[in-house]
Amino acid sequence: MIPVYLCDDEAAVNALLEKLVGDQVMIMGRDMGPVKTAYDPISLLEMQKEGEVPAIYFLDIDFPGYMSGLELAVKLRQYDPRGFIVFITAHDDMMFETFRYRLEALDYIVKGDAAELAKRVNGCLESICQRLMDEPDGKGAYCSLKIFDTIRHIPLQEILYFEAVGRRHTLVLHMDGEVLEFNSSLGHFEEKLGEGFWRCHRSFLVNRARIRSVRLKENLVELDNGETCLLARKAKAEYASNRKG
Amino acid sequence: MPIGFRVAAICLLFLVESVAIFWIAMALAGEQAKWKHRAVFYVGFCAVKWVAVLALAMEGEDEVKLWSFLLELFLSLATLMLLCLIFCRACHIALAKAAGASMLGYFLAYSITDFLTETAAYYTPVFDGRYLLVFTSLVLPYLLALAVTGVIVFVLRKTEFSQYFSYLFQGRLRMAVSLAIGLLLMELKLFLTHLFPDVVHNAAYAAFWFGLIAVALFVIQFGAMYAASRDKVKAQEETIAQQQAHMELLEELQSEIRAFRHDLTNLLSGITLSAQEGDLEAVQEFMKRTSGYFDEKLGKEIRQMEGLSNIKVYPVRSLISTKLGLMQQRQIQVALEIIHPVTGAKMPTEDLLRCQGILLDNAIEAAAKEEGKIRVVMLQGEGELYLAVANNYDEQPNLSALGKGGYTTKGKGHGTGLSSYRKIVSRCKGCLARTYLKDGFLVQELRIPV
Repeated sequence: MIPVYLCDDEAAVNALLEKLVGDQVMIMGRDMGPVKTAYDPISLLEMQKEGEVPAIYFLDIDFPGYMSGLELAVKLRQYDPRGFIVFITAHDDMMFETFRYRLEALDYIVKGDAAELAKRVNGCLESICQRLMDEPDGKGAYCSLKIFDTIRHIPLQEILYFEAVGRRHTLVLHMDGEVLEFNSSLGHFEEKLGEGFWRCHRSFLVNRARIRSVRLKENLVELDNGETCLLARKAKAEYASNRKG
Repeated sequence: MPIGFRVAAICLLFLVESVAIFWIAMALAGEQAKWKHRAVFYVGFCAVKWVAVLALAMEGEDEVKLWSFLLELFLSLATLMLLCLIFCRACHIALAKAAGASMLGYFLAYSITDFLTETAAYYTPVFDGRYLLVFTSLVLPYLLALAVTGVIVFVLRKTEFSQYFSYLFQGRLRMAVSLAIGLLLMELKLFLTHLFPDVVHNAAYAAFWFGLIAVALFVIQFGAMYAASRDKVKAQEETIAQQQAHMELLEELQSEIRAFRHDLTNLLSGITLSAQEGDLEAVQEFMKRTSGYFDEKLGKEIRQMEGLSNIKVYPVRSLISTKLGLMQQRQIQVALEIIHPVTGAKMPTEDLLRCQGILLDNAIEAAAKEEGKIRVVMLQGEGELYLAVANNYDEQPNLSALGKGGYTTKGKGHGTGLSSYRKIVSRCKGCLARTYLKDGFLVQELRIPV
C-alpha cells in the first residue's frame, strides 16, 4: 500500500481532493491508501516520517506564512527520494520546469473546474500505477548514492557499468536511459557492490547480470544493450580460469 | 677522489637541477604533478645529462667548439621535449603553454644555479681538503639554489601567476612571441658562452646574470599583466554590448505594454456598454476571452525578463540573453525559469560560462527542426547551484555515445563541445552531471556545490 498525502491550506480544496482521490482508489481498486490530509507543511512533514515510503503527495504551491511548496518538496524528497509529487496550484504561469527537473515532480495541475481536476488527478494516479508496475518489485538490491543532501537508490538491474575517467577520480555511471557523472572511486564501488559486479579493466566495473558476451579476441565485454567495455589481460585470465574450473 | 664519490656528487647535482626546473615549470603552469611524473622526469633528465657528460668526455678538450655547441643545444632541446611531453600527459594542458613554462623553468633554474655556483667559486677560500672544496663550491650552492627555487615557486603560487601566464598564450601572435622569447632566454647562456668564450667567469659576470633574471621576470610579469588587462577590457566591452541588447529588449517590452494598454482600453470601453445595459452574458463571455489575453501577450516575455534579472553573475546573464536571441531566431520555443537569484558557485565563472554555453549550444543544435522546444532551469538553493537544459529531438540520441569525444548527429565539425564539458565537470570537485531522457526531452543536468 502506498500512502497518499494531500496538503493545501484551503479546506475546500483538501476536501475535494480527498473525495476525488478516495473515489479513484476505490473505483479502480488501486493499491493505495490511506489518504491523509494536512493543512500546513510542518504537519505534513511529521506525517511523512510516520508513514511508509515511497508515497504520493498532492501539494499546493503557496502556503502563506510557511515555507513555499518548493522548499516543502525539497524536504519531502530528502526523506522520500522515490516518492511521487504532484503540484496543484491556482495559477498556471509558475515555474513548472523547475519542479519538473529539480524535484522530478510528476505533474502540475491547475485548479479549475472539478471535472477537469478529477481527470488530471486520475491521470496522475494512472501513471503512478504504471510506474510502480514497471519498477522492479522493490525486493531487488539497490545501490545507494549520495547526491548533495539526498540519497538516491538505484536498482542494481538498471546499472550497466561504471567507468572511471580522467585523473581526478571521476566516475561515469551508465544506466538504462541515463548517464551520471560524479566524483568517486571505482574501488569504493567494487567493494560495496561485491560479487555481482566484475572489475574487467582498471577503469571499468561491469554488472555481471547485464553482460551479453565476453569477446576474448577483441578484448571487449559486450553488454545487453550493445555497449562495450574494455577487457584487461588480467581479468581475461581470471575469466578463462573460472570457465575451466 | 674515489669514482663513487664523484658520481654521487654529480647525481645529486643533476637531481637538484631537475627538481628546480620541474618545480618552476609546474608553478608557472599552475598545475600539480604526480610523483610518478616527477620521477619520470628526474630519470629522463639524468639520462640526458649523462649522455652529455660521456659524449663530452669522449671528445676530449681540443675538439671543435661547434660540435660541443650542437651537442649542448640538442641536449637542452631534448630536456625541453621531455618536460613538454610529461606536461601534456600529466596535466592535459596545451602544448604551447607547456613549452613556454618548460623554457622559462629551464632558464630560471639554470640561471639560479649558475649564479650561485659562480659566486661560491669566487668567494670560497682555498682549502687543503678536496672533499670540503666539493662541498662548499658545489653542494652548498646547489642546495641554496634549491631553497631559492622554493621561494620563487612559493611566490608564483601565492600570486597565482599561472593565470597571467596563460594570457601569454592566447592568440597565435602572442603565443609565437612568447615562445620565441622563451626559447631565446633558454639558449641565451649557451650562445653567449660559445660566442664569447674568453669572458672570465667571476662574481660580476654572475651578478650580470642575476640582474638578467630579475629583468626577465619583471618583463614577463609585466607582459602577462598587460595582456590580462587588455583581455579584461575586451570582456567589459562585450558585457556592455550585451547589456545594451538587454536594454533594447526591455524597451521593446515597454512598447508592447503600451500597445497592450491601448488595446485593453478599447476592449474595456466596448464591454462597459454591455455592463451598463446589464447584459451579464456578454460580460461573462468577455471575461472568458480576455482572462488569458494578458498572459498570452506578455506573460512569457515578462517571465523571461524576471528570470534573466535573477542571474547576478553578469557574464552568465549576457550569455543566456544572447542564446535566447538565437533561439528566437530559429523559432525555438523557450521556457526559461530562474526563480531565485543566482549568485555563482564553486566553479570559476569562465568554466561555468563554458558549461552553460556548451549545453545551450547543443540544445539549440539538437532541438527538433519543427516545433523545437528548449527548457532552461537555474536554481540556486542551499549548498548547490542546479542547472538543467532540456531539448526535444527528432532522432533519439544515443546516451552512451554522447559522452565519448566527437559524438554528434550533425556530421563533421560538431560534437567537440560535450567532451570539453565533461572535462570541466571532472575538474570541478563535488560536481555532478546527469544526462537522461524524459518525456521526449533530452535533459542535461549539472549540480555544482556553492
